[in-house]
Amino acid sequence: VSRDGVVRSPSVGRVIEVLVRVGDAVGVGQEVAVVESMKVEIPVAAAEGGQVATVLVVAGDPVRAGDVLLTLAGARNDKEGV
Amino acid sequence: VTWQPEVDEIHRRMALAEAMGGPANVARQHEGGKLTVRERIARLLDPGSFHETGGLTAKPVYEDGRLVALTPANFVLGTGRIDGRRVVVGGDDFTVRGGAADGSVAYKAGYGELMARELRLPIVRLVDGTGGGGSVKTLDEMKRTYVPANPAWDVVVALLSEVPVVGACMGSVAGLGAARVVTAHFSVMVRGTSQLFVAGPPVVERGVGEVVTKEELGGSHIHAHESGAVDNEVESEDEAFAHIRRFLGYLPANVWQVPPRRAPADDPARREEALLALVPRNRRRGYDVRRLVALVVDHDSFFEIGRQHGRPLVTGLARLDGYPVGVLASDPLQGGGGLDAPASEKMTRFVDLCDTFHLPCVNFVDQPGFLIGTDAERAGTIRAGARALAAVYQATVPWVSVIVRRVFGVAGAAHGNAQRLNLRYAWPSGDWGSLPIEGGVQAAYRREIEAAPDPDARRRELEAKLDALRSPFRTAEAFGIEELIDPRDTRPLLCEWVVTAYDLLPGRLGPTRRGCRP
Repeated sequence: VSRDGVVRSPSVGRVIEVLVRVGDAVGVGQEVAVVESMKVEIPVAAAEGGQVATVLVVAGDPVRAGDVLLTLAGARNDKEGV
Repeated sequence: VTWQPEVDEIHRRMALAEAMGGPANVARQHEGGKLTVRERIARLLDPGSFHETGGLTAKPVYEDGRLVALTPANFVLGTGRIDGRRVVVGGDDFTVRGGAADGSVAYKAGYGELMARELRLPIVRLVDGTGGGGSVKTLDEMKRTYVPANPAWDVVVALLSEVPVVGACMGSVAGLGAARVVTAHFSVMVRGTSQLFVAGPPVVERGVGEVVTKEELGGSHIHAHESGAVDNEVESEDEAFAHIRRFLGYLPANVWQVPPRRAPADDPARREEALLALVPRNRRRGYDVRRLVALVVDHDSFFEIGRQHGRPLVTGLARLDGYPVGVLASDPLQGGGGLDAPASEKMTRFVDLCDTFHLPCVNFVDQPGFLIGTDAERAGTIRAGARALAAVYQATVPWVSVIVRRVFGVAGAAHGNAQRLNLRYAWPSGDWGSLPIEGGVQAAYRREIEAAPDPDARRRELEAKLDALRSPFRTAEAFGIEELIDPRDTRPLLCEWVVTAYDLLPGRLGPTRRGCRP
């Protein structure tokens, strides 16, 4: 899990759901998207808190392991988020 | 008229050797957040149990025939005890020559490997330096160069098939030292203070023009997370010793012995209510497989190996009613648990480890198949996977599978050796076959669905019909699965199985026909 202000897809698969929008405050460990891989839904959590700056995928998009799903502004690795 | 003066001389010299590379170098080692080799050995072993071999090996300085100073060899070797059981331990002394081998070291290290082999004892290598490969300075001292040969390598390789071998990366380790770390059944490195590489940053810059720090080149994030060259990443040297002690606790001293049972500290009949609801009824939802394992095996007995690498597969050692076992379990939250190339490689090594040391295996199966897609094909998933299959089919150790949920495809079929007694217990959440119903119906029945007055209704009807056939009870009716069990009965059944498995072991000891490779 990277701590560089981005949330990446953990596996190859398809985006099932994006749970946040641009501008939303996100806390550490918050589930922000769901990726389906090998027929299992994998919850994707933010490794750091921040404000959602961009959302790069929509439900249905195919993704590879490591693809950026969304970026966070003012990312902070704490419990409260921003 | 006694030999007391010489006995005193032995003690004097040993005391001089205790000073290692001198106070300044020892202080530098500590400033780098690292212990000295002697401190490491003392902390790894049971207190006071170290017995040194070759403590007098040194470069001496004589004046008028009397030794006035010495530089100890930078490899410390001996035997000692871990939980009362004897092991061989050897480590580089980085405070002398930066751990780069001098002439005596290759012999000392090789002697240690021979001790392990002939006394049939586990060996722990605390590598901190080049560990035998020398340095360019050796060239200046010898006034000649030499054709490289890896010292005692026949023994190093043979040990893998005979006794437990542990490689600990305790500093910046290159070349032969790096090879010694990973030519092991279990390897560990300390985050931040240890790095491992074929060659370090200066050589890399000259050779391939890449400018990197030691940490970027070979830190634990590279080898414990990405490359899988090292099994476990720890936060401190003490944690490394704890991992080594724990690992060896499950293993026999050698392949001619039965793995050591501990006095059981948990009820073999314990039935956990939580297991009944652990697997979500919604097939598309994952669950915490480590929790599943923890609920089944003896309390706090699971020791995970390679957690950060090959993550779709969880591997580790555990106990059932005090008996050591190998545990494999798919993690549905990592790529659905599909075996990718790294996970397949991890599986191969783990099955070989268990087979070599006669550790009965429990496989918790939730396998959707090999990972698919272009990236997976590029990674050579099929060959890495086929190798894992071969490991399962070559293994002769007692094996039981608990089918937790899915068994699909070639990878699913490899949950056990179908040509042996493929002992297995399936949970009611069992779901297997080669056809995924969701999505598959549309393709297989396209014409029928399109011709229907209400295509959507027809598709749902077909899905419902096929879904009913998916019931594991239908498979059980045909003896396609031998048993469906209450998940809460898993531990009692496995604790009964493990006793039978251990009764079989005495007749199966010794090296396996296939040797073990790193």
